[in-house]
Amino acid sequence: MSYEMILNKANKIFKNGDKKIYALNNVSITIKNGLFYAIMGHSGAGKSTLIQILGLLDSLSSGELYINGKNIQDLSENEKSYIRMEQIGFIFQSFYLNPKLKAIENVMLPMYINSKIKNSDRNFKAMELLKKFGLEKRINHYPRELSGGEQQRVAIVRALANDPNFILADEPTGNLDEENEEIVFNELKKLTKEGKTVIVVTHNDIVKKYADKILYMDNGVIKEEL
Amino acid sequence: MKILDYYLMSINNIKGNKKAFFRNSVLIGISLSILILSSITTDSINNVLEKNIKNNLSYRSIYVSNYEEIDQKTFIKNIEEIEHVAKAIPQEAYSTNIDIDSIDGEKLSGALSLIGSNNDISPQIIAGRKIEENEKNVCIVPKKFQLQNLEDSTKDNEIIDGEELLNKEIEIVYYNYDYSNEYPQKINTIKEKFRVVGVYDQEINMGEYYECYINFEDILEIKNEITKNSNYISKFDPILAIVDNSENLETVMNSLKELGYNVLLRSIPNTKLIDIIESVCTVLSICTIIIALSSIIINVIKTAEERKYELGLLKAFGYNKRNLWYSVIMESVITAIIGFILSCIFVFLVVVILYLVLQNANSELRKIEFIIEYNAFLYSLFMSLIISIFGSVFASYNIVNKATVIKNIKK
Ligand SMILES: Nc1ncnc2c1ncn2[C@@H]1O[C@H](COP(=O)(O)OP(=O)(O)OP(=O)(O)O)[C@@H](O)[C@H]1O
Ligand SMILES: [Mg+2]
Repeated sequence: MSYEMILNKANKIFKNGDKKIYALNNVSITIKNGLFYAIMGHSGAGKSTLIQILGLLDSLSSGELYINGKNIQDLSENEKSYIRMEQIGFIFQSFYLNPKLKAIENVMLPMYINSKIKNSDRNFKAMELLKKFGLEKRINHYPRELSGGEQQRVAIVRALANDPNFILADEPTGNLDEENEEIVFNELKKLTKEGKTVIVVTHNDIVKKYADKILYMDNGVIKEEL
Repeated sequence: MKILDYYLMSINNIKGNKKAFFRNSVLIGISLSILILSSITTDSINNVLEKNIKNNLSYRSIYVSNYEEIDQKTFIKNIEEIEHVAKAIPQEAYSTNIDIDSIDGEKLSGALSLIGSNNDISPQIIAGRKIEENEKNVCIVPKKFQLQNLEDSTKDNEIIDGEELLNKEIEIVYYNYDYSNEYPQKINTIKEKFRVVGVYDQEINMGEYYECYINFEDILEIKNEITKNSNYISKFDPILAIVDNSENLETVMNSLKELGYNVLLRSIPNTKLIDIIESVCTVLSICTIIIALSSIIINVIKTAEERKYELGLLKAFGYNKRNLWYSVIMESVITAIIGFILSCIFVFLVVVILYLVLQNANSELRKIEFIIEYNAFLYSLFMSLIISIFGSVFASYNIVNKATVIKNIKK
């Protein structure tokens, strides 16, 4: 099975009163396995919409989406949830860590629904992942006790909790300083070396150093692929 | 996802939301306490009413008449053989008016009414004890005891505290008349002493201030003495059948009718008051149930509003509706159970404190019987557990249906 996402003549229309907004306008694209994709473009271009469609958080108005050969349009909500759990990890601009849970508990949160991870293994797995990202000393810290960079690294670890093939990140460096921007992109790049596919929406030009492919969006259309 | 997973996850979440968890448990605890306490109060009131009004002696007495020529002894025996009849008494022996001579040696004059009593047929005692079988020359007086003035019936004698009379002696006087003349003439004056062994509350018992209970045998003796020289025949007088419990009144009435006797209730309790109080109590408990239920639902919904983005995030991680629902339910059920336990502790404390207060209070207060009906108590515990869990499940379902990823994450 090939790990890839295919978007075919995809449209996403938002209605604003009588006005129709084409957040995605006839977009066709193939996301290939093991590559680092950067999605760039100015505000309102449809970048977040695209990543939400790819992450099954929203559905298309028309067109098709295939993930690993499966037509998403045919699937039920529960089946989509299952694909999200198994195949997709999300990273957000404002980290969205649960402030009341420790780093390790945040990482464990997605694992509860994964029947492949035994109860007794959860803690160990989360610990190993945190160690891998240099967070071994932060395991029992609450988000407020972590720096922005550390919080985003915990969020990356959380996205990897169920070992997904696709990592989707919307402005992951938006709240970070330059040093941490580099660290985050670096970590994401490392993931592609392990065979994972990374899709990052960003305004940050540093990404060009890391990206295998850059998609420029404008008005719901992918203008350029580099 | 297994139950254990939900449980572990919930415990994790609860640890993270200690404040909200504590607040919710306490709120649930308080509303359940109100529910349980109100149900206990309702039952206590009902119980007291049942005991004091419906079970009142006069309300479980039936006049039975028989126009056949059987002698009184056989008639009484026949009635007493009926199930649930505690005693059958010749009606004229039930009570008799007697003059009083002194109380504890202190000269007094007045009249009082003597009523038959024994262990089964007795007013509710508030001090002292009941009259035992075959125990002679003892009596039970009302809490407020007042003699009827013999000289001037419009004037009342002073009210005596019945409890102060305990263990003192009342000397009564009665006379033996000769009825052979046109006007009956006193032949003999008989004096007898009665020791006060018990006190009853004439208000609860719906008696009069001058009614005094003595042994049936004593009454019969006095009666015989008084009517010794008269040719009065009591064969057709009705007999008073006393039913052991007001609940059996109907059954006994029917049995008597089946035997061909004429029956008449001595008095019919005014159960309107009981009915009104009962329906007020029912309405109150329904209200508390609604309040408890809605406070639980509002609470869970409020908590979920606060955690909307958390739930949206879980959805992004691949939690489906059922996963979300179960985890919210698990959390709110744990909260509800803790609240339930809190309410049990709270109710227990309240009951213990009330009990201690009533024990150490003055005699007026002590008479408030605080009854916890075992079944009713279990029922209200069960109800409150069901309510809190039902409320949690309902509220959780609502929340999860509202949680959408995009809206919750984009904020
Ligand atoms: N839920 C929605 N309802 C209506 N219009 C929407 C909705 N979500 C997005 N849009 C519109 O769709 C277009 C694309 O939005 P999107 O959020 O994808 O832009 P973006 O490229 O991520 O912008 P930014 O860089 O500012 O995040 C915008 O015009 C936006 O107003
Ligand atoms: Mg965006």
